[in-house]
Amino acid sequence: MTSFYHETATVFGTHKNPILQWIFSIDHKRIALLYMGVMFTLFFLAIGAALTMRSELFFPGAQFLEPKTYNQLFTFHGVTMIFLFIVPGIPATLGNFVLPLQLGARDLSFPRLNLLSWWLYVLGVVTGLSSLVTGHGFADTGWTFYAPYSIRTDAHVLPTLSAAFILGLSSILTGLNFVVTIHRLRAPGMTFFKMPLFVWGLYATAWIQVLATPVVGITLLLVILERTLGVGIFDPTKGGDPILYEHLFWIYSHPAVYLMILPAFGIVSEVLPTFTRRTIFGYHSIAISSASIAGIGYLVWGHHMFASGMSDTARVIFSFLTFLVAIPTGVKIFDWVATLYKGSIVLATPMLWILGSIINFTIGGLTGVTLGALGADIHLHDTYFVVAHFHYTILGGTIFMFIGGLYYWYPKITGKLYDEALGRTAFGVMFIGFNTLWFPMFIAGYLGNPRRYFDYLPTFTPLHQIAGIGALLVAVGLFLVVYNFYRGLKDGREAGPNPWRATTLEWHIPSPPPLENFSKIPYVDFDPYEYENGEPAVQFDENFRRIR
Amino acid sequence: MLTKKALKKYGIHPLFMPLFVWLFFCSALPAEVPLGVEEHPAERVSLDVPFLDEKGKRVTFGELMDGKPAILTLNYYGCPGLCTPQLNDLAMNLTKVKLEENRDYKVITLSFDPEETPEDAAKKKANLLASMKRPFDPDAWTFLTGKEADIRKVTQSVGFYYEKQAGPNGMEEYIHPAVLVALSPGGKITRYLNGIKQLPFDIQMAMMEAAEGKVRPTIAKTLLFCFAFDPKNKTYVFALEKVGAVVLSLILGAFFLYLVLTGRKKRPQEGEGD
Repeated sequence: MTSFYHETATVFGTHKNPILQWIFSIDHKRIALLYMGVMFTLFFLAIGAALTMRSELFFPGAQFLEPKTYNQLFTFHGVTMIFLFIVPGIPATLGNFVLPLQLGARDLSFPRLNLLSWWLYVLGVVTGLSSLVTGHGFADTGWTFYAPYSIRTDAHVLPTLSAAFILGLSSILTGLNFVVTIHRLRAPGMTFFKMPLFVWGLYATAWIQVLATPVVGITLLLVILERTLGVGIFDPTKGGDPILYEHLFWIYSHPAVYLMILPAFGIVSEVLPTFTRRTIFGYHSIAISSASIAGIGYLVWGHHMFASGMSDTARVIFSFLTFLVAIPTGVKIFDWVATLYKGSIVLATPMLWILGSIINFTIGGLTGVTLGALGADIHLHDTYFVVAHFHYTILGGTIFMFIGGLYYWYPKITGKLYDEALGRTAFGVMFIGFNTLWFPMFIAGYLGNPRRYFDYLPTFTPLHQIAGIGALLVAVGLFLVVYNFYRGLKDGREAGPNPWRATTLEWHIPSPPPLENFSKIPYVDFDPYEYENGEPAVQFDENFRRIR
Repeated sequence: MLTKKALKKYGIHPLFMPLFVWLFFCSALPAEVPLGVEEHPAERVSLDVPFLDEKGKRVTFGELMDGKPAILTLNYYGCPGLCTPQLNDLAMNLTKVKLEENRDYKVITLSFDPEETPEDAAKKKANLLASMKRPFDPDAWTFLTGKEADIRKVTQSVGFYYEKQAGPNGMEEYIHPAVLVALSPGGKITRYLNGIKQLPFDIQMAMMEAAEGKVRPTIAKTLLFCFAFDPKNKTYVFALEKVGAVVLSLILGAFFLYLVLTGRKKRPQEGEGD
């Protein structure tokens, strides 16, 4: 059977040139791969920036970086990782690929809009990176662009801000596309509570994209206006209010961290039932907790600003709401652990990444509650503790889950199998490396090492050096992951439609899937994760008639 | 040249002449120096200007520093505003810094009010040292007073601009910024720490860099800005943003309900319809 690699539909009719066939393709699967290509290139650039900073920090004092260069490096790392990689991340890549497959649809609701999103994304990337080579160098403001510094610095902030604005637009369009698709294109019989949980994660994410992104777009636009026309909205010398900037920025950017983690939670809920050979524990509570995280996540942004001037009432309320958001997250963690209980656990590579990510995320999440407590936050604000917490949730959580998801759907996307032994080794190296890299930072932060400094006091040297060694291990681990994927492509065994004996719809069609996914749209009146004696409870014949 | 006659011809009374002269001088003057800190990193502060310490003894920066780096603060002892919180914060941080005062670094506080005396300085010093959580070597922190011209020499080279004004209660007060200046043993300015709250980490870093004469850029330039908002007198009559928020929430809620109630796209049974 011909797969989507061999034939495609494009926005301008047919093309002979394979490159044009790719970049104008309106097939959700090809667009997902286009996103992946650009995104992972940027991911490795940003990893490079991080490793450069870690080598600078291996010894106290200045080694080879100027303070300003260091500022630009952490801004580049932050902007690239947040705006270019992890925010669009899972929805645009795995989400784009898997969502229609799991819903039993032939594509997203608006395939052309999907392609436009990718083009806008590329435009954003080009605009952002252009400031590397033009003007007074890349922005040195940090990824948060706090005013009034972002208004006054002579670094080239405008292209970076415009890029973030354009990327926001791309993100909104993707979100819109997903919301409509989930409401309109579910297979007949598939009610909301028969959808796979990855779809639930994407659904909650899509709403955040649609509702929160415009706020940051407008905020960044106001900074642009202020820089070019001198309107005094945030500059206190003109009567503006820099705290207003912080509010507007975090109203988006806090929901944005849930936007990063929710689809990743979805991946966990897919992988766990498959590799425990039983249905997920507490399907409804996981689905609803995704939605409640998206909802409560809007109301907690003030906890970024406990130290920047707010009334005590506001601080207590924000602190309380922050504790509240930990509840649906905790519900998920307990549901996952309960799924493992009495399951037939298969420690395949995707499962290892997911289990590791649950451990990391628990540490990251609990330190988040520590930071949400008012008193502790005043002490820990702007220290390495915050940086460690953030990387435990995003790198140890989201990106571990993302890599787990990539391993999980790798056979579906490529039709090949990767090397299982190498996959496990890569996980081991990365898990140990990650914890060696970030755990010492909790201690350094607690002892008072501020974040974003290019230098530190000599007493902190051992902690920075342990972290440095961890960073090296993480780099090796990532290299092994990439090498494994490359080798699987080159000479991996054929995967077949369902190598994991998984239950959701995408595993009932060939790997890689054909152009319009389903020859017939299946009728779905069953729960997504049902097993009988270790085998998927539901099976279809070639015409999608149920044979079990 | 304008003669009296010519002036009369244009209808300008000769008594206005001094006004013209004054205007002419004013326009020739440089623009008014802004208040605040104009940073001069790597510039040198002269180390042999004479001041009086809190015991009334004549000393210079050079003698006080004795080949060690120093933190310089510019304040006045009768200050009702910024100085006390700034110095209290510094006193608290000095007990937390993991360096030994007198051996590793010195602290110098200079009053820029020329009318203040060593007695004022001694009182301030006694108060501050008594507030510190561990005994602090009194020889390590000197509180200076001096003559106007000598004070100006230091404030000019630091770039510290202040002005005497009548305060709200009729008393004379200085308008001035708050800053800690790190000086290398040779008197070079190596770092500015703006604002009235510092981290012990930053002070220790500043002293270690100053000891080696390394000049570092300022981290927080915006801490100085202070703004006041009067919530009682500055509310909007028509709360546009609140009305907008309610309308928008209603629209979104209605749209969501519409999506939920209308449900999935109706398709022919065989699934070929889209």
